[in-house]
Amino acid sequence: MLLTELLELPVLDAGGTRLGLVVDARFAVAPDSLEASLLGLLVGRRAHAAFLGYERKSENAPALIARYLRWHERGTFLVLLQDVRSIEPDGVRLDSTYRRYSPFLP
Amino acid sequence: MKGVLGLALGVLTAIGGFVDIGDLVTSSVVGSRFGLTLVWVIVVGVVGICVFAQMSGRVAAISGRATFEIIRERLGARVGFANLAASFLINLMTLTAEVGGIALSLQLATSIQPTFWIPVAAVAVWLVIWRVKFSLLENVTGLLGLALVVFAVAVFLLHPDWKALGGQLLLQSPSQGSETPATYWYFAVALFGSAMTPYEVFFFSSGAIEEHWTPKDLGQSRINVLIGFPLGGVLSIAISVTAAVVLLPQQIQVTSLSQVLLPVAQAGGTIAVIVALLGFVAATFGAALETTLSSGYSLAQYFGWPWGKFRPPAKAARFHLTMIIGLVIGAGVLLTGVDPVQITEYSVVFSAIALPLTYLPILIIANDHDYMGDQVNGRATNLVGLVFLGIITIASIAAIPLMIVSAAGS
Amino acid sequence: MTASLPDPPPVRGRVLDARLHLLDRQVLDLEGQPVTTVDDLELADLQHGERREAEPPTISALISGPILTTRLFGGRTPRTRLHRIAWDQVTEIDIVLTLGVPGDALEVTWFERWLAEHVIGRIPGGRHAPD
Repeated sequence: MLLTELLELPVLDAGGTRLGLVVDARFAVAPDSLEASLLGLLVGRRAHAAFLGYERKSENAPALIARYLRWHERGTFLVLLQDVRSIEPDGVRLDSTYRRYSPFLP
Repeated sequence: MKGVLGLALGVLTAIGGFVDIGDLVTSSVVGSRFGLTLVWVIVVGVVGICVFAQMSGRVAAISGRATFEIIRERLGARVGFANLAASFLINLMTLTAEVGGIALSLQLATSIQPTFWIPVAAVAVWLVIWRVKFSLLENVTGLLGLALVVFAVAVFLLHPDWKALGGQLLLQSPSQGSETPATYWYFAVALFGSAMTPYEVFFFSSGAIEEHWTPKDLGQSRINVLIGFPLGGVLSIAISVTAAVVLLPQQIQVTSLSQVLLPVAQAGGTIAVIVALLGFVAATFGAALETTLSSGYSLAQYFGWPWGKFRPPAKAARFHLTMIIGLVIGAGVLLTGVDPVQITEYSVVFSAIALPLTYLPILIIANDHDYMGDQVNGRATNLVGLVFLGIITIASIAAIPLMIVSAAGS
Repeated sequence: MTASLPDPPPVRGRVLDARLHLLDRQVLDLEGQPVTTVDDLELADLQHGERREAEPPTISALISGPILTTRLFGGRTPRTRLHRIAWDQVTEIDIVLTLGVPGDALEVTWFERWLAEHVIGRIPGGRHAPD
């Protein structure tokens, strides 16, 4: 599968309620081999969601832009791969026990 | 001497922004119709381009990334492409106008028809890009473009009524009864957009890479910006003032390049006209080089191709092909007989898209620690950057309605 | 409300977001020469359907070229027209991605090489840097 086929797919909970769209995919990169394994998906409210880099807690300037974009993308959350039940061409379905995590990076 | 030549990148970049063929005529038109009541716009534009050119130069020197790379990286493929399309059209329209401008200037100098000069100018621009080293290119065109200082000299030779001129600076509305506010503000937005035209930062940041700037060269970058752009602004204002002093009282409406020369002829005679013509040729040639290279830079950086004059052309083949095609299109369009000056008027429309989408990512990346380490923007720079981003956004929203209401200032 | 969500459990290695850190970045070869941009990423072991794999999917390749048209204007790119650069050729992930191979050895640079060979290199002076 290509990343861009995953991005912007609708995300549904176990009951079929739409939670948002896949806005990014989070990976863990092994320090030595650089192998990148999928950790989870970021779920946002709209297709063209864009933190423009302010999903990193280390980046806070210019404060006006950082605050505006974080407010604009409020409600975005991270769902771990283990909570993803299925990925279909028309959407991503989560387990009934899925948990929402903070979308922010260090 | 090295110190003087080290300023050439800033001077050449500013020439393309402030005294290219469109601006030569627009400055004169504005002076002849509105006196000095729009000079404040040029001053605001100089400050804005200084802030953002310096930011783009710093990002290039520290991270090694030129402006269109960071536009694509931060805005993504789609929004980046919208900016690329708008910016590329501005580049193409301006390079067409500049090639036409070289031909018009040479026609004024030689009385030979521009249809002869158009292919000559296009081939000359290509040859310089193909074979002349970047540092030589910027030094020669930058220095010769300084011949336009003759307009500043002319202001003094004309012995204007300084008090009356000073009074016009404070007026915020058109001094002539026939001009409407929409026309005034249309020219204000056009002058501002031209002062901050995006190819300046494409060229400046890419030039910094061409010259292999490192963090050690940040001081040089700052001096380039602080001397180059104000100088461009002063030349632009000087052209406006000569028109305000000579053409405004006589109710002469500037419609061609030759009329821009009238005040210089009155002030300094034949010699001054020759110097001004030399300045026209150098400035339009410099602007042609800047816009042609910028068209190659922006496309190559968006698509990740190798680019730059420091590489042999065969090592940056798509970059060179882009510029060849651009020049062929430009020369072809001109040979249909369109007025080069009018072409640049319509680039205002595309600037409305390109300006915010160029300056927002520069401001964001200049604050990104991954790119800048601990040399991120300070608070003061960010404050000024944000204020200008606000002005740019307002100007962009207002540009197209004003253009329609004022019928493009006519 | 986002701020009140718990942090995810810590993991080993560097954590990065594909769209933010990888997509649309410049790719350089081992000599630092530009190769392409990251137009898409190929995810191995990630197929449509129920998730059963024990191992998480990994990035298997950088994708470039015609896929960009699809991203810009929609539609689908035939799988055979994808230009792949295997992920294990990536040696460094920074603000750019660096490969451990020369760019000339990659399929994605064929048009650049063809153009250099047959057009730009044939014009006098095309093979030397300006002097």
